[in-house]
Amino acid sequence: MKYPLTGKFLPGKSCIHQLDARTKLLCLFFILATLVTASSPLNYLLLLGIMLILIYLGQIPLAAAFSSIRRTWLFFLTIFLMNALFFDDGSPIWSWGIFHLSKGGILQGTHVVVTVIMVMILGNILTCTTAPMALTTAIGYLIKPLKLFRIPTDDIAMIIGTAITFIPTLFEEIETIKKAQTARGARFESKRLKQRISALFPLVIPVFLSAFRRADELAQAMEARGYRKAGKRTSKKAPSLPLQDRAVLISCFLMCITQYYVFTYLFI
Amino acid sequence: MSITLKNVSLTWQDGTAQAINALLNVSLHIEDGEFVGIMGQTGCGKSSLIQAIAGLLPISEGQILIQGDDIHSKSYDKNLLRQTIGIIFQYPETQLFETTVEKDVAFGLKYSGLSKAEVTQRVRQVLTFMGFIYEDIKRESPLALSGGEKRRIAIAGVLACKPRILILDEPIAGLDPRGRESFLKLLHKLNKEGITIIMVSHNADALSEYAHRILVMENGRILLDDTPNRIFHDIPFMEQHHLDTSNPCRITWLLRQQGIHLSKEAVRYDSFLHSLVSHCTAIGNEDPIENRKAVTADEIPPDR
Amino acid sequence: MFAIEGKDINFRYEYGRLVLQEIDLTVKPGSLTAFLGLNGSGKSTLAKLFNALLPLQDGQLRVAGIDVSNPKDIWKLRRCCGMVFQNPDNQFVSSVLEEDIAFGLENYEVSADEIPAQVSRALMRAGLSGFEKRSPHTMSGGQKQRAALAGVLVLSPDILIFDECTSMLDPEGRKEVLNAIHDLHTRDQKTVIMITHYVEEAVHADKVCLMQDGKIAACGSPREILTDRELLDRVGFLPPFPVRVYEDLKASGITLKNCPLTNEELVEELCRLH
Repeated sequence: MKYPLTGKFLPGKSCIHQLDARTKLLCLFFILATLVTASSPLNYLLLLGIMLILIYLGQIPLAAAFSSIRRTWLFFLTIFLMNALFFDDGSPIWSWGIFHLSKGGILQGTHVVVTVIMVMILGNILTCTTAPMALTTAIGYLIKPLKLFRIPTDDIAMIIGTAITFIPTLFEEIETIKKAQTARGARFESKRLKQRISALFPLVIPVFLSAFRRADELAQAMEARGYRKAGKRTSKKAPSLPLQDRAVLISCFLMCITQYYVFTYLFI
Repeated sequence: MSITLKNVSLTWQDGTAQAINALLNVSLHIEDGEFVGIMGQTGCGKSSLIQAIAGLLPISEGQILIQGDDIHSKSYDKNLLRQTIGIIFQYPETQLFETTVEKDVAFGLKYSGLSKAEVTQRVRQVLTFMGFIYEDIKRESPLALSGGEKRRIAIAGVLACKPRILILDEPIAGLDPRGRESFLKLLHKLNKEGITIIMVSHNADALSEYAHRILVMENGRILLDDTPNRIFHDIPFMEQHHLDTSNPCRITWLLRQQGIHLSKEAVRYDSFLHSLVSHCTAIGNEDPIENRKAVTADEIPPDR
Repeated sequence: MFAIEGKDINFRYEYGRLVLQEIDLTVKPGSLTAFLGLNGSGKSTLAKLFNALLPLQDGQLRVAGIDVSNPKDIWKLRRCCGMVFQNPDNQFVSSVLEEDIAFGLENYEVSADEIPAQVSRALMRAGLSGFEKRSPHTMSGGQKQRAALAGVLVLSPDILIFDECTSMLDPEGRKEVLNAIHDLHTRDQKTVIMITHYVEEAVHADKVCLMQDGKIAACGSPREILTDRELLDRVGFLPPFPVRVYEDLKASGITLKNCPLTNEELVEELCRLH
């Protein structure tokens, strides 16, 4: 069964799978930074090329890499229209009341949509090649410096890790409750939006209650095993990154920096 | 309301490398008014089977007919299916969500076409049937009730639609002995009123008391389809498939291992006891005749 | 010294009803005590007082020599007194089993070097060697409860409390877990408390405490309690199957020599008639 968030992981032995999760997370951020600052079509094409290479290296099926993108078409259309119709660059192609369709707006809208799609692909590449727990542990290590600002990073890491542990269980419960309510006549698949929205109450409320009940029971189980609020725990030292990871990290960083400078200062 | 399955197969993630056969070529006929128990280890397909019958899962092959009509045909009224079949999942109290008991129980009647007055009447009837006093309970929040009460409200919500077929997935899980007993009596009462009951359970003692027929499933197929009497007495089979059997059957088997054969192999407690009493009496167990309590024919319920 | 000693314990939840009334109890070290009661009898509430998951409001309670009402000792107490809960799914903090088992040790600041060996040992005692990298979610109910047990065993508690831990399992899972519990009791001499509403599970205990409406209705050996049909009936239980057969045979004029508590004993008694 494919669970949301955690269900995307496809175990494998590719070179991407074998990288430490911290390396992959950091590389993701570097590429994201480059993506967000990109504007020229050539830049996007280059980034797309990089992503396709990563997909190939990670032996990720194309369907998995591009999953969820098709379903989100409505969101993309909304974003595009909001940019295209409200962006005022002084020379609109067409105007009507508050709507101003302009070349700048269309470009802006395209830019945003393409960026979001690429972010989703990058996210898919990461989650397809990294086990959820490994990812959580990596996040836990990477946010440790925030401790300097009194942010309880250990607790945050624990919360995320535990939440991820519960995703399959909660998802199955959602399925069961959905079936039970469907059997009683709830119309989740109805063509009429109003019916679908009102069908959400018999789903959302029991699921929320169940989640709270589980959280309560889990908290008791954790306390029974000695967990204390703000208690001291064994600090897990982050294992040092292997040589190949360091090489990948440095190369990725250099590549992103180079790309940024080339496209910002050498191209217009 | 008879149920017929013809060569039904159900495959998860059909066409992919991860395809799993939940049901494989299952054919089955359940007559109106039968009480059928379904047993099997986790993953055998019993949950898939009952959900498929209730029309909650799409099937890959075959047909499911309720009273002769294919429930997956385009012309079949899905609304009718919802009213005809009631399904109670494990821990049904987790599906309560409304602000009052009345509203929660009436939820299933939203698309039933009944008038408001008829809905109120139905809700009153079913709450009374479940042992509540309508006026006292109707405005209570279902979420503030005790665990046992919540479960009864959830069941009331399913029964409110007056289903002709009631499907239950491990309904007595988590109930204490008193809760189990009262629930099974309730099912028996409904069955006597003509409702077809299909119950998935691990509890052989419960099934042996009430079920007319037991289906044993494994790997998506029906392995055995027979009376409780014949199935539960086959101890080697039950143990091989990691299934529980009823206590009377287990004792009968253990006695047989010691060379003691009871004249009648009973699966229910009452008939087992009678069989044991007549056996012990026959071997001359020694209490003077005046102390023996005669068991009359009326007291022995027919075994299945 | 008793493993658990309680005097005059009363407890009520915020919304008023007295859930436990005048509870006096003693539990000998190394014994297996079953607390038998219907839902709502207060048995789970009592169990949660033992490891201070609920605060002691009234009365005295010492567990493993520690006064449960002393907040300073709670942490120490929970290391001596471990608990496995009813729902197999709601006890895991990680989707990698060995990380979950390590959770308890991390809470007690056990050094990172020592953790792997202790985790392996705990898994072995729970019969789950080789399951280190498994996700608890992919395990059967019986395996999950044994994994939860391993997570508790890793802290080497002297006292183990099992709060209705078989009621959500299939027969196979129940057998697995009950075997594991009996193993701990007989082989490792742990003090075991079983909270249950199955009479069959109380048959092998050293002591059975019958609970009803927040009070201990009776305490005694399994034979004393589980063969007393009237007592069990008052509390809402049917006696174990062999006892029912014994009683009903007696009513029909057939008396077995001893009242059997298990199916095997029943067969033995019936053979004796021949």
